[in-house]
Amino acid sequence: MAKKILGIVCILLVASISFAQKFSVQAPRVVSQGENFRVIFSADADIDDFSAPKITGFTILAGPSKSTSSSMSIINGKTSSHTSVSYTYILQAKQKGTFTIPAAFAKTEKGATIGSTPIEIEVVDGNGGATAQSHNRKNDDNAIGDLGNNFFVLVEPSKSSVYLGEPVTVTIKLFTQVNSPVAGFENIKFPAFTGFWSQEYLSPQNINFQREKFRGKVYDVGIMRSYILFPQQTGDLTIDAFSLDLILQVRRKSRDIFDDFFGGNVQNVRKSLSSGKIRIKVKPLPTGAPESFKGAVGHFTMSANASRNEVMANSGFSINVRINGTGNLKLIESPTIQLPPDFESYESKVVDNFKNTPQGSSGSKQFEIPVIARSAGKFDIEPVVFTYFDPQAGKYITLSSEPIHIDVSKDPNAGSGNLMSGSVGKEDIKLLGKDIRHIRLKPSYLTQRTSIFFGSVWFYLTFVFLCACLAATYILLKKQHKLLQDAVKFKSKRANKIVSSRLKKAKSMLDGGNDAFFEELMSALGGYLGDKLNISKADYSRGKAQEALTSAGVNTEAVSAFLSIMDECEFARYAPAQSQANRQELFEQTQQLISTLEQSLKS
Amino acid sequence: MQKSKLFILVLLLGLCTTVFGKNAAWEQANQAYSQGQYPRALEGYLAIEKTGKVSADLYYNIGNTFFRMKRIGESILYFERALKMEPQHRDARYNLEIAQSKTIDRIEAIPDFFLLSWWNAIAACFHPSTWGILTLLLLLITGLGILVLIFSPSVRLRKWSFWTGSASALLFLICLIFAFQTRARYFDDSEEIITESVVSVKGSPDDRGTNLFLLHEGTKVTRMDKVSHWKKIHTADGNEGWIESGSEAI
Repeated sequence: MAKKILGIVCILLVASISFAQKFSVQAPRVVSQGENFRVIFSADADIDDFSAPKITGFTILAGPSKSTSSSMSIINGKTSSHTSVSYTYILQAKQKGTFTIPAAFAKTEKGATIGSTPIEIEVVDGNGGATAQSHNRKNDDNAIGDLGNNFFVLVEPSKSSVYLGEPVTVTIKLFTQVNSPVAGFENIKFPAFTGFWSQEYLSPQNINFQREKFRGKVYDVGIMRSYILFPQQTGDLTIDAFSLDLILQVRRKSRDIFDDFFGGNVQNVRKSLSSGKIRIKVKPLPTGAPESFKGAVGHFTMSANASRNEVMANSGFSINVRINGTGNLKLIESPTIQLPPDFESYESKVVDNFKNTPQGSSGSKQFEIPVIARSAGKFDIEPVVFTYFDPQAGKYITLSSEPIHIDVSKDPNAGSGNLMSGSVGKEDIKLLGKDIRHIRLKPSYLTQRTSIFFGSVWFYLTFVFLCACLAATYILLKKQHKLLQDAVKFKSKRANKIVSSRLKKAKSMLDGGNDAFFEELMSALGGYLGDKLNISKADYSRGKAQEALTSAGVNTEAVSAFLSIMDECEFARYAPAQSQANRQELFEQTQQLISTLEQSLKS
Repeated sequence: MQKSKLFILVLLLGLCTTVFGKNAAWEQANQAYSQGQYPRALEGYLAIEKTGKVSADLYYNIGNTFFRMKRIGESILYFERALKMEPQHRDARYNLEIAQSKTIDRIEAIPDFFLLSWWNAIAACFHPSTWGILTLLLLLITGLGILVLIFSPSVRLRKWSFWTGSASALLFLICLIFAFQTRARYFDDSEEIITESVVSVKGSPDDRGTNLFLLHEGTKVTRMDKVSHWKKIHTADGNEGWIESGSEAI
């Protein structure tokens, strides 16, 4: 056992090496007159030679009293020790006013001198129950009754009248009696901020009470939560009440001295607190907002540039728009960028880099807009325009970037060969706008409006003239046709005469030479047929004669008779001489044939 | 002989000066239009119109000028006039469509029987004179066909000419009907365009008449009757009423 203690002492000795040289002061910022309070100077190291500060304005009731505490921990075999030394004063505030406790100095083990910072303490009017006196035993009876006025919650907006979108900070504070024994909270109900877009800005896990003066009294004030609100609608917006149940530990009046000593007669007292509703007037933004205004409220600067100024067609680059400043950064939309036609842009990537401050979100927001240029050339992207509303100045401010120049070179991969470049994909003509066509510039032929050709005298004259021409042609043709027909008739009339004269001639040759007779007979028949059926001598052939005769309606018997006579004549012309009787027979046959033909052709 | 020659020369010179004079006015108005001095251009064009000799292009240019001066009703009136003179004036038709898209009244015409609307659409394709010339051509073809039919010795040619002649005779009749119909429409001035920005249509031809409805500029109406200076008008959707002024015949 003794060995163990010795070991610990040894370790303590080894470990008592100073790590830090911080000398801090703990004291309330506000005290009430006549109140007793502590001022503690503490250091994380073993210190010596404490040179006390010269305290004026307060009565030193006790101190400086030194206390040392050491701790040691072994984590994963590593040993660490911690020593702290503190000097405590107990002071009493004598009179109202602000007093300064100057710096205290001390020397560390290493011999360095460390000093504390001077602090100011305000002494205020001490009347009112919010003092430490409530702690005194003689007041215990009415301690519970006293709670009423000294505990409350407040919802504090930073401004009561704002513009739409202008951030407003709302802080929820709990005010308690100084040094009151707060045990905890229950049923905390934070307000719903209807009409606002809210962001929590402070939400401490442990509530640190700070002394604060409020309406002439000193309270312990804890910030429950703090919000930044961005009004989303205009009008008088109401923030609902904040409420909580505060649990306080109150000592009962003791009947027994032992009970009291062991703290057995402490009672939990529940107290419901609620703040009132508060109103915030949200003014609409003034009219006449530029077209580029998209709801940004605050104070901003803007810059825009392209990630590269020289790109190749069909390869991408990005246009970066960076907005710096304070305001409703989260709600800012990407400014519109007017790209030249043939540029394609895609959805922008947004990089937020801001934190919430009492003035609103502060930091920067960056929009990265990916762009692909589809055709080569030199392009100027029009300046990016960004408009915000400055609530302090109460007007719209439009920022404009420099024009961005982009030099797009030809895409070497477009198409497979040189011939193909520029014909990668045909595009439809894009209609950019619609307008009437331009006036006609050529001077035109002017006429009376009512003078039109159809229905005019000229039209009817032409009509009649055309009809007359046609009629004249008809008459002419008709006449000629008649003449032609007459000629045919004449010929056929003549045929009989010729054939009879030829036959007569042939008859006279019956006794004569063979050749002459047959030739005469043939030409008589052929000539007859030619005249009758309008076949010229040159055109005459056996087939044609047959065809003409058949189509003229001559019966087949007569046709075959005609042909046989013709054949016989042809044959006989070159054959040896025939008998006279034979010739006579053929002559008679011919005569008979002609009479039958005459009859059938006439009908 | 010498005197008559001189006379002809003087006549020609006079003709030239009138033609060139008109051309100069035309060029000046065009120039004013191109420079954006629309009132001056309008003045120039209207001066040409006042001479009584007009053309579809002149009406078209006047319509354009009115359009540029934001007088939509009048621009529609002149585009319609241009189309009446030259139904195939494409620019006028295009600009008329644009001008009509800027009018306020939306009047849905009661649709005709489809054959009738086809017939009317075909008839509206050409100017009556074009139909007239077509008629004359078809008359010629028909006549020649008949002559060939009568006198040709060839059966085949006769057959062919029979069909050609019959077809052209039928077409001749149709064209003649078209020509008469379009001519009647050409001289019909009952179609009017509202030229004032708003015209209130009354129930009876006097100032105390009840206001029936309002018509805005650019709307086409049909004039049915006239009592002193009151016009009884009829809109394409079947509404009727009386107006005193604010419309002009196409």
